[in-house]
Amino acid sequence: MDCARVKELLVRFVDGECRPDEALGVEEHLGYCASCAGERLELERLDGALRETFRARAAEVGWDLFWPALRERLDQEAEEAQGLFDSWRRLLQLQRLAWAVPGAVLLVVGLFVFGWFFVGGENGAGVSNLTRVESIDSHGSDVAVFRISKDRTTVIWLFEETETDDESGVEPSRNDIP
Amino acid sequence: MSVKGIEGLVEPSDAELVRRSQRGDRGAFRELVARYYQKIFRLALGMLNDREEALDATQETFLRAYKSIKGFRGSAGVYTWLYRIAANLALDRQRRESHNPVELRDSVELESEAAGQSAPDPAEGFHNRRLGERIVEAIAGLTPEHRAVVVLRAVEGLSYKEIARVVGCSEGTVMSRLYYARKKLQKELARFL
Repeated sequence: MDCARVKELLVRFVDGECRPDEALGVEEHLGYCASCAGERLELERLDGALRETFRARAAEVGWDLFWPALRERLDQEAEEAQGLFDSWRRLLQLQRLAWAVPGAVLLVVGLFVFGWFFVGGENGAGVSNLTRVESIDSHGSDVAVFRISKDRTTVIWLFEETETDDESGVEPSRNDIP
Repeated sequence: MSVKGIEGLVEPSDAELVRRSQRGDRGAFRELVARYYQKIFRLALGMLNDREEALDATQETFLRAYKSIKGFRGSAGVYTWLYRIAANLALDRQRRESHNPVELRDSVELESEAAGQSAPDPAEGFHNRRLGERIVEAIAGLTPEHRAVVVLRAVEGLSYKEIARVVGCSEGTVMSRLYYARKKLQKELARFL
């Protein structure tokens, strides 16, 4: 493996992210190349310095400083959440009677609309437009009146074949019956 | 699954702590915070380069985690989930305040003090202090996306795959960002390494 290839792989090698065959090649090269070995050392020193610097800086913030402040924020958060819940509950309790009036109005309107459209308001879906009336012309027999719309009505005459040949309209006497 | 503690006590696993937290156990959540707050703070510090801002972002991360823990299904590790929340938060803050650059002096001074306290040898202490200052300055010269991958890899030791999951990009992008960021840092810090 040449220096150019090793320099390319060196960062991954130091991070332990090379494939085993690549790591072997780099390791072998570092054994005899002082320049690449120096670069590896520099990378490792850089990581070490970064690690030490940040660990020292972070160590300034101890548990005794960190946790009480966080606990306070957690408590505050919990209180806010509880406060929001309580305020909603209070709002609903206070307004219960006030809600009853529009609620009742809505119920009445709802029932009216339901009745109008589904049970039988004028021209509603549930209107029965077929009725039966007694007809004068058919001697007391019924006629069916089918009202299609306001302007259109169909009358269906219902009659039985009970009329005699006698057109006088006089009912035959009991003596005429055989 | 549980983890054996130093004193032989069985410590609950992350998954167990998450389950208990989901049932509203504040103590379990406190344990999760104790395990990860330093890691999250380091990432926030690396990305925001301001102690107070990073502290606030770390608290915000756990606050968000607490609020959404019921929805956490555990497909990724807890730390990946927390890192992800923190990285997104830090990126959002950076974008919001991009026209309001971070004042480095406070961070540098704090770092100098910390480095100075931990070094018994004056010469070594001076070198570390200078290196710390230069690192803070060099990191500040990177974009937030580059800072995130450098901190997650070099400081937290995450794999490329884990970093990709945290920052929401491909492994190839992680690799190229790391390559670029390290080259830049090497160049900036050449005299100190």
